[in-house]
Amino acid sequence: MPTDRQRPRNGPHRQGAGLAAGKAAEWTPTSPLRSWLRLSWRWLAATGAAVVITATGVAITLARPRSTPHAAAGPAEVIRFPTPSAAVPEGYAGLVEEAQALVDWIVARHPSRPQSTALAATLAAERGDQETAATLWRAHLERHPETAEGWYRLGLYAVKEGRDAEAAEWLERARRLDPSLPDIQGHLGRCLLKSDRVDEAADVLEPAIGDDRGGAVRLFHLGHARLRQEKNTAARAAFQGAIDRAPSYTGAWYGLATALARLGLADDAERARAEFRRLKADDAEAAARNLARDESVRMRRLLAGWYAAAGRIAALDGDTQESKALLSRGAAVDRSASSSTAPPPSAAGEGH
Amino acid sequence: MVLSSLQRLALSFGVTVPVLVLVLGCGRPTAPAALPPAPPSAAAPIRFVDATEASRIGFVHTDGSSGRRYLVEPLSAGVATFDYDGDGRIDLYFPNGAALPGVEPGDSESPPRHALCRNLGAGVFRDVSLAAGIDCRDYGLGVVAGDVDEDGFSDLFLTTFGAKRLFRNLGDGTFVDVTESANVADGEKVGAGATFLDADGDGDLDLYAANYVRFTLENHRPRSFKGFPAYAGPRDYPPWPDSFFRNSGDGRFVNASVDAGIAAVAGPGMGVVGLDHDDDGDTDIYVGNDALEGNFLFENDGRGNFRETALAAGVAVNRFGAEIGSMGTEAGDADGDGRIDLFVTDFQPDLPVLFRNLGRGQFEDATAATAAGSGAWQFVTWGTAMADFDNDGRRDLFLACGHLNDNVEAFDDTTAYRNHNLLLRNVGGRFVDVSAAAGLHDIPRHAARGVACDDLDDDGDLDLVILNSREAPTLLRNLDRERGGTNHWCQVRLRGRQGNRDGVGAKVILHAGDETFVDEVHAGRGYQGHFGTRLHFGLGAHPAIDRIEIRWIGGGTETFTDVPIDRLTELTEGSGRAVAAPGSSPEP
Repeated sequence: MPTDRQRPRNGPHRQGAGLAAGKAAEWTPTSPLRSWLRLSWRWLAATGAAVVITATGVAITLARPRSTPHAAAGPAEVIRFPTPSAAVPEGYAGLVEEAQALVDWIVARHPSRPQSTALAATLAAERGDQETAATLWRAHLERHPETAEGWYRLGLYAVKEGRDAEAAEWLERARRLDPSLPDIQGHLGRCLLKSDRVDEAADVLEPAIGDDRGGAVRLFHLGHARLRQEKNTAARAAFQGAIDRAPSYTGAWYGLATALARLGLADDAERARAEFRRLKADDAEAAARNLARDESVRMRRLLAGWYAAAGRIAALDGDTQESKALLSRGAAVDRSASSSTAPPPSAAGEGH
Repeated sequence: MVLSSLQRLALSFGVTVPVLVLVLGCGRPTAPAALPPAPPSAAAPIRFVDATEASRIGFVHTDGSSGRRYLVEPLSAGVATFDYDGDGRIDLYFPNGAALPGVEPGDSESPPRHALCRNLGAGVFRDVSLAAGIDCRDYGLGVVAGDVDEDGFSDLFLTTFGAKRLFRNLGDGTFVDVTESANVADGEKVGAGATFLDADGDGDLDLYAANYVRFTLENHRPRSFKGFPAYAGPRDYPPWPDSFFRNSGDGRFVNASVDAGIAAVAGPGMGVVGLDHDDDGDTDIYVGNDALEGNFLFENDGRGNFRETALAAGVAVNRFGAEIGSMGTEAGDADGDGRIDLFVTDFQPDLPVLFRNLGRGQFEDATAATAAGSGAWQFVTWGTAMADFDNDGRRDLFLACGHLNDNVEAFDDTTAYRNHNLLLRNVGGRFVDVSAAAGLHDIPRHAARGVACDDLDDDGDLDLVILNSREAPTLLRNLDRERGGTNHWCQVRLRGRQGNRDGVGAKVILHAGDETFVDEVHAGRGYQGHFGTRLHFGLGAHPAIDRIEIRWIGGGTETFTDVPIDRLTELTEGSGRAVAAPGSSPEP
């Protein structure tokens, strides 16, 4: 990270940061320790599957491949990997702990998979550790510069941090490697727009509108590019197109009102503003509902998704049993999210 | 290092160059480096130095926190710069917090109180609160100064967590609390920014006071974020409508919030600034609301009746239609087109927003086009000042930064509780982050809140004072003149006769060569604070002022010629003649 901001390193979630420091490279496919662990894992995963089937609820003990350099050189630490029927942690902190164990495991087992890095980086970002997330991808890209997703994710982190010019550079690189990345044109166009490269933004966005829901967002940004170019008729058409695709697109209604006002269509602009106001009120209600939601429920859903992703990674490497175990646990976590009774909002809502 | 210390001393308030030379001459005959710093360069055209220690300001802010995280704690407070005793020097007022439940009585030696600090000259200030009759221990949030009784001395209005307070300036260096008789207490609310304005053009100052949300100690809601304790926010409580008080001219105010159309809407208000956004000769009100409802723009019909028009004017939300987590609001001509633009600070990671005034009451979000959010994405930005710090004729932006959660580093490594502040220099209409070059990175980080900007040492450049949450304030001395800055400047103080005494709301148009510089007199701006009643114009290389036009509120337009540069001048309504103002303005 290029800035000199204060970054205390005392958070409890920093325990997995050894990996973030680029140590993932030590888990090479030829590592003897890794090979040993792979064998151990297969054996243990088979055992785990049996446990799943019989629903004994007994945790499986696995040799834990540590992500730190010490672990790579020393004896493996033992961890307990939850069975599908094991209780899902109640609180956010416990869920994050389980997620970290999952991520440490999957990265050590499948270090060359970009999906593994994506998982680790996603968890780091969830913990507010964007630096680690970016470092993970950089380390991966040093070894696998052809990984389009790596440049893509770096670009998105930079977007989140307001470094739009840098983001545009990463996203452009990602686009060259894989133009099919999710909404790559839209992200790139938005970065260019925010970097005040308005004409380039329009050039990227216009041919990439498409028919999917993301097309509404691309039209929205194209509309803003047209406003900046003072092409108000084209802006109006773009915002109207976004609304046609997504009628509740609040921001598009605001853009449409702006374009109409600039075209001198005051009454139409006021009607668009009225719709914007109405949708904003709905947005506020949704935000209030969101606020009342237990943050641990959100984390359960994330964790379930991460187990599913981990299961797919294992499947890609042919570890069927491992994949099944991970997917089963993910399903259990997901069920717990659905059945969770959130405490009253006064005690559990997200803060400012 | 001795030399380094001496250099710092030389740059601090209260040490004149001759004294410095004498000191250096005794110990280090070969110390030319300790002479005034090099002239401004293109690389570092603006330079500040931390002059807090030399200023002898003893104030230390408290938010009264004990770990329970009451909503009001991070909101305290704004800061004010104004001349309370009429001696021509700009004084300081620091609101303070107060102990909240959970704080043990013995935790501090004496209860915290607000501080009025008199400017003694030479960069030194003295806390005169008690002598001035201001023994205020309310939980302070906002402050604004204005001469509500037209007696020639600035009175003080405070917003608090509780009742609002009005202190009348008796003109003898003391104040008296006239809250009850003036009828401005307004119940128990979470107050916010405020502004004085002559809403109805009758020659006295009316009062607009924003209110935040309906929080009380009893309905406190503990919150968490990603497993960490956090402060509740504006979405947790319904907002209060803001309050509007009409000045009856007899020392009393009438709460006209409903009649004037202010209470028709409600939002979690924070910063407030009065401006004539549509150039129709009356003062409108712009209110920053924190993340909900969009910001408000109350358009004045000239008689003190208001209609909320922010959405149609393009200043309610940012260009993407998203609400702004508005903190501070500032008004000024950012692009030099003669129209007053608006600037709003924002919650991290969103950028502050610059609304460019297009004329006819219409604005556009020009943040991307002007890079007015440069470097701000990772900060919660609070106080702000749009001012010309290098006298080049273009208004720069200062942003006070600091998070509200003191544990934010535990769950977000993109920001921190204590941060550097930001200085964005206006270079040809685009803003460039020059914080490091300006010396802001050499200054200890704090969780800054309010900021006020005025020429505190009367040397012709604009200094800054920043209220830091839970800590002592920071006083930043602008070194433009010491570094041999050659740009010219002009300061004007208005004296209304038919209109209000300080000319609040008056529009000042300065013509120099082929350029025109525009400003208005505001009373209340930034993050819940007050500054800049004395207008400051950077003139660049212009060697003279052709004329100054003033459009008085409630009066006509008047032209002043023969206004000198590089000094403070008083312009009195109806006189048509510029007069050197009392004070310590340097010789041209």
